[in-house]
Amino acid sequence: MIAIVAVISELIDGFGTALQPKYLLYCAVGVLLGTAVGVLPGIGPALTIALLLPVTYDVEATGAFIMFAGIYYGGMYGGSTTSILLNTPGEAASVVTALEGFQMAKRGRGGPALATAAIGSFVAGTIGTVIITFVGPAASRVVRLFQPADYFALMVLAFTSVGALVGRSALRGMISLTLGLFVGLIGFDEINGQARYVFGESHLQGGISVVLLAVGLFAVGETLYVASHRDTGGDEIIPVRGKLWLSGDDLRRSWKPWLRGTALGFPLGMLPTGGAEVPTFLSYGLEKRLSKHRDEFGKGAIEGVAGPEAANNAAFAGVLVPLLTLALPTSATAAIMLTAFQRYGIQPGPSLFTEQAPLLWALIASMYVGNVMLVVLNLPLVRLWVKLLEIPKPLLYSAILVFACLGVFSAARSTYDLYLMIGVGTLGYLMRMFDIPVAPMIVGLMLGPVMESQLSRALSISQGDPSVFVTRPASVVILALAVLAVAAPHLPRLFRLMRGEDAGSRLVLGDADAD
Amino acid sequence: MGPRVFPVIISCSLIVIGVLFVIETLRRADEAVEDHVVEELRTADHKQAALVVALLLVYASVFERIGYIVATTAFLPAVAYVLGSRRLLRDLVVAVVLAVVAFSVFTELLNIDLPEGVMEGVAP
Repeated sequence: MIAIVAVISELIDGFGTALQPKYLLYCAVGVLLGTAVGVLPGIGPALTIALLLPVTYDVEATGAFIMFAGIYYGGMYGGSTTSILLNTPGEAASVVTALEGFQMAKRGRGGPALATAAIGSFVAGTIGTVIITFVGPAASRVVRLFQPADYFALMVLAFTSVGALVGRSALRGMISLTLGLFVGLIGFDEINGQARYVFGESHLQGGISVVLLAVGLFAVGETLYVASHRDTGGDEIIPVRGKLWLSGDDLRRSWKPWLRGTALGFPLGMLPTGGAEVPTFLSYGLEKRLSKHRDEFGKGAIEGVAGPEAANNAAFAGVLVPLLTLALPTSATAAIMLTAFQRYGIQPGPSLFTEQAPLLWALIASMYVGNVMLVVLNLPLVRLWVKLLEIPKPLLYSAILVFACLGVFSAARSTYDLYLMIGVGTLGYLMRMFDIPVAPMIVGLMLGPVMESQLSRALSISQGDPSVFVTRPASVVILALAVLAVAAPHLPRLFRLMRGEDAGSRLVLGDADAD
Repeated sequence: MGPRVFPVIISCSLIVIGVLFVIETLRRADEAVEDHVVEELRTADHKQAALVVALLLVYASVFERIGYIVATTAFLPAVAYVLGSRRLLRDLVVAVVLAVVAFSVFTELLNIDLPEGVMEGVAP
C-alpha cells in the first residue's frame, strides 16, 4: 500500500516535469517527427531515433528522452497509416496491419481503419504505461538481488528466445544475432583493455557503434533493395474515405481486440523476443479465431486492425521494462535507446529507479502525455500525413541516403565510418536477399559486451568455477527457460516422432494464421 | 578471464550455427523461404544496387575534399537517377535546398561542423 502511494507521488512529480511547456513541446515535436518519418515507407522508429541522435546533442537528457518516446509512439502510429493506405508496411511490426487495413481502405473504410488503429494504440499504450508505472519499481527491486551469474543466464535466455521466435527460421535469427555479437567484439574490450579485431586501424579501436550498424542495415540496405527492384511498378495510394471515427458497431467490434492485443503485446514485448513483431502476428491469429465475422477476414475485418495495432503499442511499453530495469534491449529500437542513455552518462538498470528517479518519472509521465497527443494531433492531421506518401520514391530514397551519411558522419566526424556504413549496407542488402532478419544483429551488438563483462564478473566471484551458473536457483531457472525456448518449437515434432508418426513441420509462431 | 575467451566462444557458436544451417538446408529446406529467396534473386537487378554502392563510395571519398554542399548536390540527383527519376532539374533543386538547409542547421544550430570544401568562406 505504502509502495503504491509512493509510486503515485513520484508519478505526480513526473507529470509536474512533463507538463512544463518546454517538455510538452519536446513531446509534441517527437510525436510529429516520429509520425512524419514513420509514414514514409522504409523508415521505422529504430532508424528515426538513430538519425536524430545528433540533433539531440545539445538537448538535456530529460528533454531528449521525452522526445525519443514521442518519436517511437509516433513512428509506430505512422507505420500503421502507411500499411493501411499503401499496403507497404514501414517495419515488421505493422506487416499484419496491412493484411486487413489495406482491404478496408480499398473498400472505402480507410477512415474507420485509421481510427481503430489510433484509438487502439492509445488504449494499449496507456494501459501499458500504467503497468510500467507499477511493475517497473517492483521489478527493479527484484533485479537488485541479481548476481552476475543470473544476468549472464538472462542474456542466454534473451539470445535463445530471439533465435527461436524471430522470423520463419530460428537458425536465420541466430545467424544474425551471432554476427551482431561478433561485431560487438571489435575494438577495445572493457575488461582487459585489449584491442581485438582492429587490424591496426585506429578508427576501429572504439568499436562499431549501434547507430552505424542500424543506419547501414536499415537505411542503406533498404535503399539498395529498392534500387534493385525499381521496375516492379508504382504503389497505389488509397485516398482516405469514410469518417475518421468509429461507428457504434465498429466500436463494439474493436474494444475487445484492443484489450486482447494489449494483453498479448505487453508480456511478449517484455520477453526478449525482439519486440513487437511476434505479438502482432499472434493477435491477428487470435482475433481471426474468435471473431463472429470470420468470413470478413482477408476482406477487411476491423478486428484484424484493432488487435495487432494494440499489441504493437503495448509491446513497446513491455520492451521498456527490461530496458529500464535490466539494461537489456529486446528490440532494435530499444538497443538504440540504450545507446542514447549511455551517451548521456545514464546507465539503465535497477539503480535507475533510485538515482535517476526524476528523469525516469518524467519519461513515464510523458508517455501518458505522448499517447494523448498521438490521438489528438494525428487523427485530424491524417490527410496531411498522406501527402507525405506522394513524395516520389527515387527522391525519397536518395534523401534517406543523404540523411544516413549525414547522421553517421556527424556522429564520429570521420569518412572511415562512411565506408564502414556502406559495407554494412551491402551486408544488409544480402541479408534481405537471403531472408535473414537484421534486427537481431543490432540487439546482439548491444548485448555482446554486457554479456562478456557479466560472464567475467561471475567467474571472478566464483574464482573461475563455471558451476556458478548451475548452483544459483535463479540462474538455473533462467537457463532452464532458455533450453525450453530452443526446444519448444520442436516439441510437436518430437512427440510425433516418439509416437512413430511422420515428422511434420516445425511450429512457427503466427505462421499458420498469417498466410 | 582473458581477452580471448569470449571471442573463442562466439567464433565457435558461429561455426556451429553455420554447420547446423547447412545441415538444415540439405536435409529439409523450408520451401516457403526457399521460394522467396529464389524469387528475390530472380527479380533483383544487382547492377542497380551496385551502382548505388559505387555512388556512395564516390560520395564518401570526395565528401571532405569538395565539401558537404557540393558533394550532396551532385550525389542526390545521381542516386535518384539510378532509382528511376528522370526529372533532373527538380532533383537538383531538392538537392541544393536539402544540402544548404542541412548544412546550416548542423553548423549553426547544432554546432556540428560539416566539411566546407570548395565552398569555404562562401557557405552560409
